[in-house]
Amino acid sequence: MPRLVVTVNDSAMVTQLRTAISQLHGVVHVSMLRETSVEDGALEGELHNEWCRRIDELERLSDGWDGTGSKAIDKQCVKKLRKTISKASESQLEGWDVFPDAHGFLYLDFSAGQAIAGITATADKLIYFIQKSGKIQKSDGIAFTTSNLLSLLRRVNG
Amino acid sequence: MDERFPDIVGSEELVARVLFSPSYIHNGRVAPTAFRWEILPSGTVEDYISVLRGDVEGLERSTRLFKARTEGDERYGYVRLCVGEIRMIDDSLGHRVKMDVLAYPSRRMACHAGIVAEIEGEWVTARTPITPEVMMLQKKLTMLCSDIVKF
Repeated sequence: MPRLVVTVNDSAMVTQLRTAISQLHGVVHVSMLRETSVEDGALEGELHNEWCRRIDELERLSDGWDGTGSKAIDKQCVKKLRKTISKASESQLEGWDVFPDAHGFLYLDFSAGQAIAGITATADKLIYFIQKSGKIQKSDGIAFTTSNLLSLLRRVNG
Repeated sequence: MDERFPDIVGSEELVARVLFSPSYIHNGRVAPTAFRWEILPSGTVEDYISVLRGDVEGLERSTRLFKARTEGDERYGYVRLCVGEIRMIDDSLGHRVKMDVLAYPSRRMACHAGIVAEIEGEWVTARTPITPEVMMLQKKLTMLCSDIVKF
């Protein structure tokens, strides 16, 4: 079966490109083969791919996905999460999962041993708690920027 | 035949939280956001998280009444929690918490009940803003889920 290899210089494009290609008639399978450098020198791998697939899935939820009043996931929120994930290392993503919130937000959930954490990502802010090694960190809302979210991921998995 | 349940929900009872959306389960993990306080189509602001009482057979009978919330979705299933364990949650990130499970039977569903929560004396409702304390309570509820049962 013929294959097409596409090289990009911005890892944030990968998910969009993959979605677009997979929708073309005749495309059987799309996978990311190329290793891409990220912020801290780590390499994108299976965990990144799984996150991309999961975010794609959640992005497809439409209004009413969990009954009256439940909202589709905010596009800005999805975009910012994608950008952050593309810059995170595999080790920073370990133990995390992402779920929809009926308000149209995304919820990042962490569990590993006794450590737990949760981050609600809205279009413009991050509400979080981290309970790790008997210590608690929390905030009612910090700006949702790539660097703030990466910093939270590092605090939990650093 | 209608099932009857005592007015007081016993601590030994198991209650089920029905998950209508498959997106609430991923990698065998239940979403904390699946435990949510809802605003009903009638405009009623719920001050409890809906759950159902009863054994597996009773749950299967009760949930046959439900329809998928998104066209094409199949009902996903439910998770079960022990009432006594819910009542033992007494703290959220250093804040005093009181949790309980109360019977809220309806004409259609005698088995209907609700998980209620108070944080520092304030009842949590569907209008309560998302805070770290509310998120922590939702997380703690997921940690009590003993199993994920698919319909």
